[in-house]
Amino acid sequence: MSIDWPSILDDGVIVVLLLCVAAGTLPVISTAFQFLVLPFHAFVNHYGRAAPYTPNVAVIVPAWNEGPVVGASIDRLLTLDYPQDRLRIYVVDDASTDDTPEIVRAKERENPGRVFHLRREQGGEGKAHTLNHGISRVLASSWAQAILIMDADVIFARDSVAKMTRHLADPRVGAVTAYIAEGSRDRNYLTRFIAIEYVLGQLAARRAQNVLGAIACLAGGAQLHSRENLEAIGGRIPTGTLAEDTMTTFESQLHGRRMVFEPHALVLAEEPRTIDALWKQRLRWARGNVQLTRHYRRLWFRPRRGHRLGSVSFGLMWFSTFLLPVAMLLASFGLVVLLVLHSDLAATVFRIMWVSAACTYLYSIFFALQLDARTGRHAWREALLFPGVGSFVVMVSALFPGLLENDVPGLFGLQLTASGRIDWTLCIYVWGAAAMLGAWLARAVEGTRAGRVLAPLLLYLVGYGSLLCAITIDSYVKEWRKADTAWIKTEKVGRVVG
Amino acid sequence: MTDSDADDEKGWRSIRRDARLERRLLPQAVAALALVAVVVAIREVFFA
Repeated sequence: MSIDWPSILDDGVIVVLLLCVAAGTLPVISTAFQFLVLPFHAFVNHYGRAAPYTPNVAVIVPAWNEGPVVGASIDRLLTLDYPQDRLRIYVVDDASTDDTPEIVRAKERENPGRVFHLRREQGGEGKAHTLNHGISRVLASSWAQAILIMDADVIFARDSVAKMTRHLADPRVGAVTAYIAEGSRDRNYLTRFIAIEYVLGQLAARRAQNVLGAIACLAGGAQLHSRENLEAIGGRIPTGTLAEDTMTTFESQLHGRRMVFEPHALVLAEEPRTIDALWKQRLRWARGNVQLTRHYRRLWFRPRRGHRLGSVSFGLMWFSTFLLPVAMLLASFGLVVLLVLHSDLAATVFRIMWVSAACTYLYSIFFALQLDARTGRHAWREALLFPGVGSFVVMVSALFPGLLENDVPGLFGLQLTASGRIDWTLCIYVWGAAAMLGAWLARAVEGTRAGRVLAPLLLYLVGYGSLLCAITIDSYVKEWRKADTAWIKTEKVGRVVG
Repeated sequence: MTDSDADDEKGWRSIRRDARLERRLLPQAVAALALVAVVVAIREVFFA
């Protein structure tokens, strides 16, 4: 009996291509999984173990040239609905060259024993070093029972700190994070996209992480640690990575302590208003995630006692974000080659992939709009267009076969030719990958005269997710080339509604 | 009732209120799933 090698080879190629397309559906499966787990937070949450608890809290505010925002942040901290004799504010001035020292010293004089100005004469080493300067000072005294790390520009809702500390009544909890919402008073299209991203990434995803017992990141702008937790991880924030907040979160969990996301503790933050500024901020975060993925390489998909970071569900969530651009490229590649080899099979897998994406999109966006009605009211357009007009068209094409190819042209007495049909199919198959190029283009044109109009149009076309994917690819390249890791601070000018 | 007792009571009320708010996640999930079901039904009826 002879072996039919050409047939085996053909089948092997098809299997590889199908696996490529399957890789493209993994992020969809991960998102669907998180949003299906999310409603369980109604019962699987930490409120049953929380209790009124107001420990002595040392607030550490890292500040480098934060003149426009630091005064308002201190004022808000001083008026929080929290026993004022149990709250001290330490502003760590990282060798600022603006009026930050004068502003903080004035607050220190007005509030003796409550506001402290700590000056670093040699600055510019990054946020972790600045924080450690403050933490070492705070831990040197026995007064602080909890340490709140925040950003200089964020504004805490009056009850937010008390809502966070109540979880520390449970000694198993090492740290608590809050819901950081985009809070600019003069919003633009980009801050509205970011607002929706935070609803999806925090109010939804972190609730799901609460249920699953592993938190990916305590937001750097609002993380409350018990003193014991900070001491257990060495009494300092890990340096040597661009994602110090994520590494702190991982280390805390590896030391056996539980992390809690408190969705009702609201903290408003100022977010970038231009693609370029967002790119720089997110590139730092994405490069940090590349570094951590490598650093914790022995952790992934290896369940252990004591923490859930090695669970399959957490690994799926982590890598579906980390490898999202790779998944999109593989899916487009698989679909296009399948179109050439087996167009019927390509049509079937395309439909499975994008119908599942469309259902997940509808479910998650409609759910998200209910989670934060305030954001939903002012950013509903960005919510609907979060995947971009292009992906919206692809989803409609998959959900309602023939609608865009036959029915809509037919309304105008038009009909797609055979070659036009192939071109259309090709376009929707490669869209996932092409959209990332569009996002890169949006950044490239933003600084030009036409960019003020063109950049937002491009972003609405390709979607916010494609922009994040393009930034992630940039992070792979920069890490591979070991590019400079100098800390680039996101500019804040005090736009948050107080 | 001392100030401390009043603060405690306020804290417990806040915890109970937020725990109650979390239970809204269930009807919200049902509403979102219902939307998906409607869209899938339209697909099955008109575009199958």
